[in-house]
Amino acid sequence: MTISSIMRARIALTNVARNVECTRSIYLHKGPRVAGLKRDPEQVFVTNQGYKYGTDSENIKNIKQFLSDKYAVSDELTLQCLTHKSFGNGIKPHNEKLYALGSKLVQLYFAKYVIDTPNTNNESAINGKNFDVIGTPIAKELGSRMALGIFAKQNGLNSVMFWKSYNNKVNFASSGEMKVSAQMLLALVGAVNLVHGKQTAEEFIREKLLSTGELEDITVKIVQEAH
Amino acid sequence: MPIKGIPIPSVARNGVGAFVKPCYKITIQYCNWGGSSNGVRQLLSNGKLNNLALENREIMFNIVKQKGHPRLTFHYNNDSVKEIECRNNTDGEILKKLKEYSQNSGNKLFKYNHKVLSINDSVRGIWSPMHIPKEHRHKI
Amino acid sequence: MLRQVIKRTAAKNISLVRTSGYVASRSYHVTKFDSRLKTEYQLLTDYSSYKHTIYTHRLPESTAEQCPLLIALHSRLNLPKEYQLSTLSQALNMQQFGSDGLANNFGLSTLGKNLLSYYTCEYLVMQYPRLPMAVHNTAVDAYMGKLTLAEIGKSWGIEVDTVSKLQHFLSQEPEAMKYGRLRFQLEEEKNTVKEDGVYELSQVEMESVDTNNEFIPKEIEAYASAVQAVIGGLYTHVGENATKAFIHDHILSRKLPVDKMFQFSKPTRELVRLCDKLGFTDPVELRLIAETGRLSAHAVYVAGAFVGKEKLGEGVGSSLKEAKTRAVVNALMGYYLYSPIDQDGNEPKLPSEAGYVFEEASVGGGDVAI
Repeated sequence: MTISSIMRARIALTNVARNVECTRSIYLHKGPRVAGLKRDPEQVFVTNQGYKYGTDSENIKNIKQFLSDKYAVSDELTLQCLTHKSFGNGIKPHNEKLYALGSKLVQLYFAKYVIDTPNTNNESAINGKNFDVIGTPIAKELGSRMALGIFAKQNGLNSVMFWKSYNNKVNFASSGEMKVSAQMLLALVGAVNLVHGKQTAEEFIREKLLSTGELEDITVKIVQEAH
Repeated sequence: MPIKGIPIPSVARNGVGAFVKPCYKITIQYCNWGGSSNGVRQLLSNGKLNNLALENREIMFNIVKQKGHPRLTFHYNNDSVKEIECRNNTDGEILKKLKEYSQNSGNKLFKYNHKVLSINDSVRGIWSPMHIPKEHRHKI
Repeated sequence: MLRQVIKRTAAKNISLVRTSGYVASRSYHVTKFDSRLKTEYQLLTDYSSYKHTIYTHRLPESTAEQCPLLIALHSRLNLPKEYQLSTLSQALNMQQFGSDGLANNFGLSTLGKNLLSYYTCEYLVMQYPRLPMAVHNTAVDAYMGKLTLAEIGKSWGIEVDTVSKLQHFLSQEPEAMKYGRLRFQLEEEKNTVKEDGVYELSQVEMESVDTNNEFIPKEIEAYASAVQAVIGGLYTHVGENATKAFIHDHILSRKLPVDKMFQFSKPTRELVRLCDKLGFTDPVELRLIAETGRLSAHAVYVAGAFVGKEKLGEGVGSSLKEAKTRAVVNALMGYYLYSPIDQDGNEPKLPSEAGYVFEEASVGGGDVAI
C-alpha cells in the first residue's frame, strides 16, 4: 500500500466518524479532588460563602447599585469584574486585564487630582500644579490596594466575589481579600472605561470614589496609623 | 506559568508619528587669522549662518574660534560624529555642506542591491507545495 | 479644577473607618515620608500645602532662555510655545539631593509615567484584547520600559552633564549651558578618572543588581526619567489631549514585535484548556494534513489543530512532533493576537477618543492556568 493510499484511508475513516452522531458522556466527580477526574461544575464554581457562579441578581446587585444607571455595564461584564483569576484556575472570564486598565486610569486620575492645586503658595509649583505632593504617603496610598480594599469592604461591594484564597481563615489583609477586593474595584473602573469611554470613567472615579470623601478619609487613617 | 513574555524592545520608526531630526549639534571651528578660514569668516559676517540657524532651530550651532584649518563637526543622535574639512572653501560651498550634512541620518553610506529594505514581514507569505490540491502535487 | 467640582459631604464616615489591624499587618507596607526631603505640610489632604524644603527654587525662565541646548531641544520635539524652557530644564534634572536647591524632575517624571502607563495600556488593550497578561506586560515594557525610553531620550539629542565645576570654569562655558544637559551625577562622581572599557558600579547601582546579575545603569534611568518628565511637563503646560498626541507620535508609533514575545511551555495543554474555557463541545484533535518524504532524510509534515470541523491552526515540521507543536502554537497565536477592527475596517477608536463606541470584542476573557 502506498503512503497516499494510507492517507486516503485515514481521511475516509475520519469522514465516517464525523457522520456518526456520538454524544460524550463524562463522569463528573463530586466531593474532594481526585487526580484525573473532572469535577462537577455545580460543586466547583461556588464561593466559600456558598454563592453559585452566574449572573444571578443576588450576585451582582450590589455592584449594579453602585454603578447606577449612568455607569451601567452588562451583567456578563459585571460578573467578569467580580471574578478573580484564581477562581476555577481562570476557566471563567476573569478581571485581570480590566484591573490592569482600571488601575492605570485610577493612578493617572489621582496623580492629576493631587497636583491640581491652583491656590498653592509653593514656589516650585508649575502652572498651579504642586509637584511636591507626588511621592508623599497620602498621594501614594490614595489609590493603593489597602485604601481601595477597605473602601470596597465598607461599601459592601466585595460581599460576593468569585476567587479562591490560599487560606480564608486569616484576616482581611493576609488572606488576600483586601487585594482581590481592590482589584475588583479597579476592574470596575476598567470596565466602565471600556464601555463608556475615558471621560465617563473619570467622572465615575470622581463621583463614586472621591466626592463622598470616604476614600480620602480611609487613606488619611492609613497614613496616620502607620506613623 | 504557561506563557512567558520574551523581552524585546520596540523598534524606532522615525517619521511615523513624529520626526526628530537626527543631527542635533553642529560645531563650526574656524581661525580668525588663517586664509583657509576666509569662507567661514564671510559666512559668519554676512548673516547667512544666522539665517541657517534660524531655519534650523532644532540644531544647536556651536562656533569655536581656534587656530588651524576650519572644520565642521556634525553630531547625530545615533552617537556618530562626522567631521568635514572645509579649508579654502567659499561661503557658498560651506553652506551647501552644512545643509547636506545637517539632513544626514548619521548612518554610514552603503549600497543596497535589492528593491526593498523593510523591517516588516512580506504580506505575500511563502508559497508552500503542500497546500495545492493533491492531484496537482509534484510526485517524486 | 477637579477639586472645585468635588463637594465634600463632611467627614461623616471617619468614625466608621476601621483600618486598625489591617495597617499593622505584615503583608502590607504603608509608604513613609522621605525625611531627606524635609517635607512640610499643614494637613494631610491639603495638597497645596506640601513643600519639600530642600528645594528652594526653580530655574528662572530668563536663565533657561540663555541656554541654546534647551531652545534646540524645545524645537526639535516641536513643543508648544506654552511649554516653558525652565520646565524643560527641570525635566532634565534628576539630582535628588543636589546642592544647588533646584527642584528636580521626580514629580514631573512620575506624572509622565502615569500618563504613559495609561495610554500604553489602553492602546494595547484595544489593539490586542486577548494578549496573555505576561506578554501584555512585556509589550508595555517594550513601549515604555527604561531601556526603550532611554533610547528615545538619546534620539532626542539630550546630552549628559559630565563636566565638573572646575572644567566648566576652565572651558569658559556660559553658566546656563549646564541647565540644558541631563544632570544625574554627583560632583565627586564627575571628578573620578574614567578608564575606557571599565565601568565601576556606584553604590545605588550595586543595590539594583538583580538575581540574574543584571542592573540598569544610572544613565539609562536618568534618560528614562527625563523622557517621562518631558511628557509630564507637557501635561502641566498644555493639558492632556496634546500629551496623548505626543505619546502616540513618539512612543506608540514604534514597531512592536509582539508575535516574537511568546514563550510557550506546554502549548498543547494550554490549547485544550483554552478550548475548554471557550466552551467548545468538540475535543481538540491534531491531524496530519499532508506529508512528503516520510522515509527520506528530509521529511516534511503538515499538521493541523482542529476542533470538530474547524481548523484552528496549522504547522509545518520535519517531524510529526514538530509539526504538531507548531500547529498548536499557531492556533494559540491566532487566538491571542486577535485584533478587532471596526465596521469600516479601521483600527477601533480608543476609550479616550471622542466618538468611542464599545464593542464586545475588546474585552478579553483572560488567560487560563495550567
